[in-house]
Amino acid sequence: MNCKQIEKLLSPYLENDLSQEKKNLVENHIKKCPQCSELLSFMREAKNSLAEMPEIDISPSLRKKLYKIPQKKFKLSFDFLLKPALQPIIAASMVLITVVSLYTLNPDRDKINKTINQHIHAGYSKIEQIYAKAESLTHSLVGYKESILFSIKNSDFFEKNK
Amino acid sequence: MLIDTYSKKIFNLAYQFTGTYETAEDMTQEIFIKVHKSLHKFDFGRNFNAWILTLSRNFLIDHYRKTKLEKKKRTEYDERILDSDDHADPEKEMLKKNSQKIIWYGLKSLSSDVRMAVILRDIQGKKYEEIAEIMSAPLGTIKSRVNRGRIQLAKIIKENQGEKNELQTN
Repeated sequence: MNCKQIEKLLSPYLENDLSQEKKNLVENHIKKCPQCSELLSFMREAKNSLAEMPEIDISPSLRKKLYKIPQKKFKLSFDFLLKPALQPIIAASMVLITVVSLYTLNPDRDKINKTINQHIHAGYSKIEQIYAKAESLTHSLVGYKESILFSIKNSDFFEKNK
Repeated sequence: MLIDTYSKKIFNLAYQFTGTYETAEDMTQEIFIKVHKSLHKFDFGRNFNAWILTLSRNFLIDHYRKTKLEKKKRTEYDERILDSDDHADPEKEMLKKNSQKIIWYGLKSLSSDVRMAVILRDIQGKKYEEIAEIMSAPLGTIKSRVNRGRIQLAKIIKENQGEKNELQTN
């Protein structure tokens, strides 16, 4: 067995959790290998030092804070508002609320309504004008339809591409 | 009742894991808030001790992975951890303190999973089966983590050997 394989058996060896056969393998290797022998003794030291670390008592202030926790669960929590996924929605809602409140609380609301109506009507009339222009253009093109089709058919453009 | 039975255990686990007294106090509070919120989910057929330690372990490791704060913060060695132990021989006591100090700082160089396994096994003295349940990992994985952790700590002690020898000669 090489050192890497022996390393894996060192903790079970320290804890006396190896079969007699494997225990002998580790012991024979350690006798010949000073590195693994040294590693084992430092591992033993680490294990013992850790085991000797005592538990420490909690401070009275922490105990006080912990006793207050159960009361907290009855309080209404708005922690979910802090979720990053909700932030764009919250920002958009705030903008909407601001705009709506500026409109509803404005003393000149009637004037605003009038202006909006005027803009809407102006928009409608512009669209109607565009429609009318488009219609007259279609009518004027109808007169030329036959002559356009005739000139396309008789042009040598298609002949050349055949 | 819950606080009396588990606060010391959870605080010590948090302290040994984070290495900072104040952080451990904050973490203990956070863990208890989580315990109170999750109590209704507890299956009474299960071991409550393992359940509360699993919750604590998950919280501590998640917090560590999110913030990586402990890596920077484990800079203090709290004398409180040794004050409670009286030793007849002052020289031996000093060597023991020094050895524990090296190990305490050495814990920060272990990965979070390895550190947690070593703490539960060697400081808290839990059985491997119990640790496997707390850490939701196979028994073989836990044994291997503990072995790796001890090897890493052994190497750290070796690196600090010079410091220890100086103390012995003084």
